[in-house]
Amino acid sequence: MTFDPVQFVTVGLNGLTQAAIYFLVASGFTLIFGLMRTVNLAHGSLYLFGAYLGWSVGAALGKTAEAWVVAIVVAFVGMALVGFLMQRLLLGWMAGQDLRQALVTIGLSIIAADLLLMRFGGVIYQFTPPPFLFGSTSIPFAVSGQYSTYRLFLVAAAIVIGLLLWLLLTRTKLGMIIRAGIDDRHMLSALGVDVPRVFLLVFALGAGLAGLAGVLGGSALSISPGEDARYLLSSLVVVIVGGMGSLGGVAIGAVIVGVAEQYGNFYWPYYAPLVTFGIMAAVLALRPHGLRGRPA
Amino acid sequence: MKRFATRRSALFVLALGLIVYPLVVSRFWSVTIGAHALILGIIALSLIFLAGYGGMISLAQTAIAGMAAYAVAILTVPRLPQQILAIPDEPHWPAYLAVAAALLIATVMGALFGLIGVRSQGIYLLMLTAALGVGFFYFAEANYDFLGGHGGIPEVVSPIGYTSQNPAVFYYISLAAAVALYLGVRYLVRTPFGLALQGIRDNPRRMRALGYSVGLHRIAAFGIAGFIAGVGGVLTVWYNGSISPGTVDLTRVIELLVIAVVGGLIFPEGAFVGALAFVLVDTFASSVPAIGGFSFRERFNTLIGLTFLLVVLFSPNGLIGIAQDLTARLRRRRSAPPREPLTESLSRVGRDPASAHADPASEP
Amino acid sequence: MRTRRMTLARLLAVVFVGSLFAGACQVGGGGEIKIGGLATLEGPFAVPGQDSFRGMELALDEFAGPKDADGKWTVAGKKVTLIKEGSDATPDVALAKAKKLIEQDNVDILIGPLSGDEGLLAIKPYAKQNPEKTFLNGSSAAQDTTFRDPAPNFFRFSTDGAQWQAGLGSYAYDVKGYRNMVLVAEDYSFPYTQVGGFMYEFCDKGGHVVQKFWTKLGEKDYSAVVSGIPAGIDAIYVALGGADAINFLTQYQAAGGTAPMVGGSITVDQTVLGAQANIPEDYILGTPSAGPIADSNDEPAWLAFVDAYQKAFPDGLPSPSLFAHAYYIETKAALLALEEVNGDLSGGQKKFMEALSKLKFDTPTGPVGLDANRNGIANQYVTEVAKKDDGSLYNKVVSVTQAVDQTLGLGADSPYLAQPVSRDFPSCP
Repeated sequence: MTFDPVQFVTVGLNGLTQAAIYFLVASGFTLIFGLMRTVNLAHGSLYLFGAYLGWSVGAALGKTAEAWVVAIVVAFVGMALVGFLMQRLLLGWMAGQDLRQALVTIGLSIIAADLLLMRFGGVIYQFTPPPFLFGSTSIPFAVSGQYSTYRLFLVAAAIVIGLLLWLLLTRTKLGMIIRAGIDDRHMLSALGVDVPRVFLLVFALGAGLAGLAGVLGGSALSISPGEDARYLLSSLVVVIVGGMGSLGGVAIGAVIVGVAEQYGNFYWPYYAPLVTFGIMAAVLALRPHGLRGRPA
Repeated sequence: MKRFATRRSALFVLALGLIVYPLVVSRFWSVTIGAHALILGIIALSLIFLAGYGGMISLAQTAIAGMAAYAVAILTVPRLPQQILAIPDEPHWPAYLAVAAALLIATVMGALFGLIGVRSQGIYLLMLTAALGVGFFYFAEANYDFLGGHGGIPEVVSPIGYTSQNPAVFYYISLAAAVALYLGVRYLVRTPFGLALQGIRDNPRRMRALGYSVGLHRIAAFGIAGFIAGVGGVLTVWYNGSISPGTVDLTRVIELLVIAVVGGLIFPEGAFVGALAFVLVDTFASSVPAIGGFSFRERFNTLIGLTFLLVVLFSPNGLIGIAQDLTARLRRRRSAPPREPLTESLSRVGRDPASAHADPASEP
Repeated sequence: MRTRRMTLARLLAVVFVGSLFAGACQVGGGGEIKIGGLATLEGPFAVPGQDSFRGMELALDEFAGPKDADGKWTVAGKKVTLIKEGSDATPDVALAKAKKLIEQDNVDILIGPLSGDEGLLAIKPYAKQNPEKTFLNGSSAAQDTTFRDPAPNFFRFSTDGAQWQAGLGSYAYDVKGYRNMVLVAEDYSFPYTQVGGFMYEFCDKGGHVVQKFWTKLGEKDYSAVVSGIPAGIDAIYVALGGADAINFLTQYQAAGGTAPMVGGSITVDQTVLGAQANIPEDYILGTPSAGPIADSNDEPAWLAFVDAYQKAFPDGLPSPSLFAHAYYIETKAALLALEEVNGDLSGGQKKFMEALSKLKFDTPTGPVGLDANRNGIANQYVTEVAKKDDGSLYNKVVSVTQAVDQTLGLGADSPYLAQPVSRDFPSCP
């Protein structure tokens, strides 16, 4: 197709939107892995579960703008609770057995996917974000001079949440503990920190982020069965590219993957997945721990 | 002596049963249960080979089997679907050539995936191979030039015609392939290569110090596993009579893992036991009457997930592990010290070589 | 090590003996007719799939009812059971379920599938491998399932996707005045067929389809498409399934898109208009579409059908979808033919199949018969989306094209039918 600079810009914006969602989902994933070396393969299920939960709450409250905000909060808190329970009741007992934990999360994700299908069916659910977020905004270089307002909001939200996470990690005591744990877990307990409690907090936080992403992302792209697999896979790729345990890495990885995906889909549709996986393979060849990751 | 004779006769009964099987049961049971279980078992064998003897869990085996399946489909199908844009005329290769090409592709791609993951360990490798495996699914869905996209390639005829029309012959072909590959794996792990591979599984740093090339061994192992998966893939496309992205999607990837884990992740036999169990449950779940509104036919996946979870939590060595424990208890005899579950030994690999266990039972 | 192999041997021996027993226990019930129903219950066609089974049961209750204490119907003095299986719109699963129904459950007649690829790529080849069983279509509407190289035991009374678009291309050109359009459709056999049906007429009149956007089934993210739609076009032909259509419409609107739409048969049908989504109403009103049914059809046969549906399924859709309609017709055909041969399915079902191929009967949408490829000839409706007094949206009948055959009246020699429908054919940029 002929190259159109305006389309090029718009596709780039689409890539950033996608990157925003990927960042929100993968940030939780990388925190959990970075600190606890737990690969939470049920992360995508948390995204979907949070989205459905948020939708149910929003619908029960009448689908108003306030209901939407409540949905976001409920999704975050709800999934944080689920994450807490997962770590407390199952994963916490297998500390150190990474593979077993991963397999347990796979089992949970299979069950979760099926139960969600039973409850919510194969239908597509759409959210109702507040009206002022709906519709389009004028953007000078986009197609028809307009771009979806909600998507711009999404990018902004991801940046804000990213900043908050960064502040949490760098300016608070908890954040300091988390960063120390990512660097050297065993030393952490030697210093007298209640490591299991920190693990619970981080797992809850990571899970909550996934739920939050579910509502925010679902409002842009709607939700249905299969989204759990999609966002799990993208979390894996983003974190492999960006590096485990690094928030900056997730941001970079999300942007690379999101933007590459969109450009690939637009300009090279039959081979688009190769772009994403080619990037992943290239990063692994040069830096096996990701762009900003450290050796285990 | 007595035990030897009993074991001999048990094996004899088994072999007789396997051979006589298609002659006494219906077409459905020969092909859709029997051959299907054997084929899934072959692909699971490739996963178990890598996991049990190489210490590497690869979730990309389904994809590699799929690549072989696509290769056979493209090269032998009488008529390509109109969605395929980049191939003007059907290649119409003879079956033996197409199969050789497919197995070559599977081996090479297996080795390539091994190369990509050569510096990754344990859980990281699992994530990586999962991404690669599912990535192939997305590629198959998206690509219309060669792979036919969402619809895939239908009406692939095997050398013996549609396999459901020749149930006994197809069953025997699958059985022969399964037995050959199983014996091949058992033999391979006793060779110097096999032993080195297991050494690398247990303690790569030590092996490196001894002068073994850890990377090359791993890549070779992936290549071999790719070959095995490729055989499974060829049989799969003949079994289905078609290939489409649905054969390699995330559900199938996880199914294969479930089969391997439930069967027993470190035992090659586990591949086939797990596959048979899975196929039987899949078939019978729909016949179980609904209990209190909870229909197993519809909630089959929950059942699978629960079984998987229970196995991982309570018997990481799967069905074979359970059988082993039971037999040992029945005989009231202490056999060789039980092998440490793979899941635990794997956790220690690659972290602190000094504390990696010295496994007395190094013979599989 | 020996222990383990011994254990293994015993384990496998037990399992095999068990399967032998189970296999031997396959007893076929004599004098009973088993009908297998296959529709999608997962994925993007989950809602249409549920409606399909409603259509089947409606037909069974009407012509073979009432159900007895075991839940079985009766036709020609024989008991009839219905065994349902769900697929997910992929040929793989459709094939696996068809195998299960035919080989494990031993159904005599299979009615299904729902979606085009399942029919073309899975059921048609499978039917050819099982010449002694009868396969009736569900609602799958890919053209080549019957148009080229058909299976002699596959019967489609419900017509194909191109037939469904009869009259729409002309309507878009003549009445709406569209000249330059683009199209957005999913990349598989059914949308190819729908696009074909639309373009046969539209291109013939002199219209231009300047660009085609083929998307993945179940695509959530239409941003690439929305960015790519050129300025200055008169309208967009959208042949997306319900769930995808909702996504596309919302995203197109949000991006500031204004071009009006022409809809395929499942783009603005009841599963979409009745859905729980934020359909931009002022945009969708007036959208023309075409298909085998129309919500506002005031023929008595149609009204009776709607009434029966609403009574039997109070929590079904507000009005039966074309999926319920299609499965209803196919099931009715099977039952009528069974009546005619007195339930005689012996001899490879030859008599039954012959009765089917000669069958002509009345449906809620007019008379139906089969052509030489065992494909249906039936009426088709051109509609526009309108609003009822109670605020709900429906498809209002604009015109009816009678007795449309698979060539849409163009004749088998038409250059438009020279090649199979595909992404690139037909073409009029």
